[in-house]
Amino acid sequence: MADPISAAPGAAETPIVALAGVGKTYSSGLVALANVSIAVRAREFVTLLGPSGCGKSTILRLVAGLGTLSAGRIDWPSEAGDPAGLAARRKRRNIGFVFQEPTLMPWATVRDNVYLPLRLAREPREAARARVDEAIAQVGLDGFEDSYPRELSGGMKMRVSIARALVTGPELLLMDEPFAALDEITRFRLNNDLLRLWQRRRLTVVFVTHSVYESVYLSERILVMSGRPGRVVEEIKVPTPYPRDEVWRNSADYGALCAATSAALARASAGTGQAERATRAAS
Amino acid sequence: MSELPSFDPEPVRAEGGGHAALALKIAAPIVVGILMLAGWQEIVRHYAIPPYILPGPLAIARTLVSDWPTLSGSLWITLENTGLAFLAAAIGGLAIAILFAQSRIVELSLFPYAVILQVTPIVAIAPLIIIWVRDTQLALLICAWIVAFFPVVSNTTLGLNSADHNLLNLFQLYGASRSQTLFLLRLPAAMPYFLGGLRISGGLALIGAVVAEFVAGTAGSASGLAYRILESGYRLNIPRMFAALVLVSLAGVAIFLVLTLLQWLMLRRWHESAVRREN
Repeated sequence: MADPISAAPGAAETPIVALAGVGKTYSSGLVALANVSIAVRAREFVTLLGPSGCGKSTILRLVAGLGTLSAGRIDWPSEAGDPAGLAARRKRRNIGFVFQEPTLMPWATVRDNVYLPLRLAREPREAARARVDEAIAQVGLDGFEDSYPRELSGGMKMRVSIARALVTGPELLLMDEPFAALDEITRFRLNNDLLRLWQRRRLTVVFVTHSVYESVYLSERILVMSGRPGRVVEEIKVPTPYPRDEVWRNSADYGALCAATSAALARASAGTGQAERATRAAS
Repeated sequence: MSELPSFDPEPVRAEGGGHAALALKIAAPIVVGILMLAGWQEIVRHYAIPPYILPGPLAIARTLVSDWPTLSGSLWITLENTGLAFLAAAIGGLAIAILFAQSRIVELSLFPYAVILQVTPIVAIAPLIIIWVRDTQLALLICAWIVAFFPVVSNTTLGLNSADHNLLNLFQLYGASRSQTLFLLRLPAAMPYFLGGLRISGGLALIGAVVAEFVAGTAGSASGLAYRILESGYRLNIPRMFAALVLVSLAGVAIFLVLTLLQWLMLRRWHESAVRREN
């Protein structure tokens, strides 16, 4: 298995975040992750693809600082030169997180929900106002600032959740199966809008999904994971340039990439994948 | 962005037949009430039941008017006790629940005592409290508070612990302090539970105040509605006894309505319980 870090072309650029040999074992003894090494470069769109329960979400949570590592390291190279390393660690990193559910506060308006990260950073409401309204406009929800979450459709709630993650101008955006619960039409729209936002705001995105089609459509790089214990078993590059659109979604090129990715996922799900490779080598 | 055609923020509005439904909701119990009162009056008249056994509704209404100066004073005293005990239960209950939510140890060690206080019949403890506390009004307040505070504590504690786990993670991710998490997440999430507790507690505060007055009896310096009921009983002034009883019931209904309105006002924009379903 090639090391994903060294597999990157033109890897001169230092990564934003690098996981090295990360393992996670829960107190129940369940080994969720074993020896996961991933490097994410600036402005990259990386997807973690794998079956349910393979530890994709666990990786995101560890990167976000929710939970502790059982093994390995997570490095933030931009902070490496910081002599006051401890102080930097205590200071919050600028990370946006989008959960599978919109996770909005039902008692707060769209504007107050999006304002939340800045409010928690003790920024005065008036000073934050312009950025909050800009984030809401960027996800296409201008005019809905004073609505309550229950008045919005599922897709709109997810947009609010994305606006909230973007309002701090995050250096890294983590998305944990954000569109899994949406209908296909809404999901396609949000896929397109997310790609547009990613390009316009020069975001760095780590996206988690169990949908082969979504992962191919969105990503530059797909890391295929297998479960028990969770680990990255294969890396797939999607060379198609952006902007990608509905025409590409119906192309043979896209279909071929999806087929290749499906095969990789099947190999990953079949077990370690090594047995498979051995058989193929023999035949 | 182009999801606009599918945007359909259903505005929250009354159903088509809202007015008819509301009219029925008000009219039906009123009709039943009038029929029952008429029947009662007719039975009393037909069998010529003397007023010291069972006064008719008209006699009770007449007494309510003629004795209003005395009764209104008693009503005011009972309402004052109830109101103070209810306020103390709301504030104290909320404070205790917040304390419980801060530490599992505190909750585990104190909650059983809150339960004990709740399940011990107030009639049994009231005489002790009245002996121990010299100020009768204060003793009555304590009794009413003991009855009323528990629903607020147990409901609010449940509410504080019911905050969405993903939201808790989000707050942690953005480095929220303990107090930010309490005020911006846990307390708003607990609001529907707290208000539900208040609605139960309002009625219980009245019951607690009345029971304590009964136990304090005519020895009490304060003369609330329960005192009037006892006193009228001794004097066989049964119409006045009923009139005082009517006032206790009306006070209870009024408290319930006011708290229901409060709950609706606080939750109507966001909570499922306060929003009309539109199917």
